[in-house]
Amino acid sequence: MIALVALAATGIFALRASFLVTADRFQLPASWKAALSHARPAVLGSLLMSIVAGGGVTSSPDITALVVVGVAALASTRLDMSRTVGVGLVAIVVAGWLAA
Amino acid sequence: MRVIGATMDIDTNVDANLDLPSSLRAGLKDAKPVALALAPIGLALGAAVSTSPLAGMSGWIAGPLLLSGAAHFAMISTLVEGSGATAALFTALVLSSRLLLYSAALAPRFRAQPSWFRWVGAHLIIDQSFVMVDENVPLDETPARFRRYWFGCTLPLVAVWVATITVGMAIGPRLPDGWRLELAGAILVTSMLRPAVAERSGRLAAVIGGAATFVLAGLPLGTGLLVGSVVGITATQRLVRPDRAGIAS
Repeated sequence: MIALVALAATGIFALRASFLVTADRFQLPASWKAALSHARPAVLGSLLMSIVAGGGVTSSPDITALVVVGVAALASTRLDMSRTVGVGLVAIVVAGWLAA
Repeated sequence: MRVIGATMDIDTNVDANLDLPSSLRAGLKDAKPVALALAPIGLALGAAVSTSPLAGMSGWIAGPLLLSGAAHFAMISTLVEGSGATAALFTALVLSSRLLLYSAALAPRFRAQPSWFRWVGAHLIIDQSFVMVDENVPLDETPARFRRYWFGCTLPLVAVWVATITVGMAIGPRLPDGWRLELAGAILVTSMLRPAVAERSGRLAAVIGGAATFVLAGLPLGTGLLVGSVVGITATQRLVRPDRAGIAS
């Protein structure tokens, strides 16, 4: 299992380092740079949907995840990040308590 | 965008007695709420590791070596399902392929950095560090201040990550079943998404990326996440006139 972890860590490091170690010699085309300016919201939107999709359109959405995300989204409109996280964590505990 | 350190002089919540450069303090400050949300995920991961084929040293060392909850969880589930080590490795790598996007997007900020930092700093690319830097650090920040911010916002997260995985492995079986601690990841993403969608282009990218990921969620090995992200990026680029000077705007 150690070998598996070492291989995975090496592969993931290669993904992380791929563009960084050559950053002083290689520059992305301007069109790529412009497109990557949208990476943050696009990846965050995708990450959020992958969490709540519950396996996609062929299965039911994860209702608990939807409720927790909804509470956090509502809190984030009025509170800073620390308080939003706090409210969200309380929502997880309450949801777990209700589900028990 | 916030210039790192610019808010520090007027922020009385920051420990001004620490003789730390403002960029390092800014990174530490930004890491606090993220660390709060990472802690329950680390606990949940540690609990999952403790009852998996990765239990023991290999599962624990994977925490700091992978620095990826999604990949770590995916490896565990694949092994528990009995799909074998090769499938677990492939799943972890495919699921982590979005790190390529982060690496490409961060490359301009690493161009002027010394070689050692481009290697060491690369290991610290995670969803949260990418978002914090993209949101808070201007492209023309000096290399030294960027390095301090990078270490300030990432090293505390690594420490919390390893510590909570360790605690999770120790107390895992005693955690209540109904507590979906891993959902803290959803809270973190939600709270990070709000500033990212302040502009129209951000809203478009998030909606298109999220919708594409939902439709493609059935793709094997979690590839829907990468493909959905790329669809969100490319579609937004076509729909929105490029009116931003740099990738961090």
